Amino acid sequence: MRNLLRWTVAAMLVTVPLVAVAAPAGAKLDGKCTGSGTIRENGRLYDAKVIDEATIPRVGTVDWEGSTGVAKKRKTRGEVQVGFPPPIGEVTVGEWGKDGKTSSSPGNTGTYRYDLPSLIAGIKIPVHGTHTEPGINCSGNVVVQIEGTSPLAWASLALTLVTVMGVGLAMQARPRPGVRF
Amino acid sequence: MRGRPVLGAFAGFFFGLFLGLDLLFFGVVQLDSVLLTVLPFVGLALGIALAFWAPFRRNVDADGSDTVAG
Repeated sequence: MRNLLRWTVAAMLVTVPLVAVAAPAGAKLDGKCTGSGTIRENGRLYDAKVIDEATIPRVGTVDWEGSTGVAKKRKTRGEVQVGFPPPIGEVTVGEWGKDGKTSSSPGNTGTYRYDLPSLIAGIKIPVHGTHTEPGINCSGNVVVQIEGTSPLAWASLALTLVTVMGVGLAMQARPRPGVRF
Repeated sequence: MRGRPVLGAFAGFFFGLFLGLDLLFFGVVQLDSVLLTVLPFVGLALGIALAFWAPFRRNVDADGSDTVAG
């Protein structure tokens, strides 16, 4: 019975910090901007106005569009960032308009073929984007998750079990010299 | 009486690190979660604390070898 109590207390000490695991709710695209993409492989439309989470195939071709509806010539500026754990923070993976060029197009469309590494499958990646032009400020968040499970997940799980055994070994009392248990 | 604090620190740190990676790879936390940064250090502190607490004792057999009694 004492052993059970000891194991229970030890397990609680290790797992209590995990209680606070709760991802903040994402915010959809706000402002006058619109943006969407259709992945050809699954035929699914991802509209940034209505979704804040997207699970996508690891390999695919996406037909995308983005628009503010303004046709006059103006300076535009924006960027896309990916969130990493502190102290790294947000890393800019794409930007436009930083060179001061002007645009007279109300929007843009294109097709993009992507092939993501299987190592990052299953990871929830927070992506944050902003777009600014005179009279318009848009920002949006989406959490992108690639379908499948990374092979690194199983390696990490195995190494976790190894370290649990290490902690278990560290918890075994060593006899003091001259003291017999 | 105490266990092995150095082993506890080492194993605790990597336990926290790999536990964080498990949570990440299985989609429990997002890539920007502060847990990924904090867990290794929580594991380090817990590993040291559990090693000093050392709730499991060893029995010394008649032949002088140790067996874990719990």
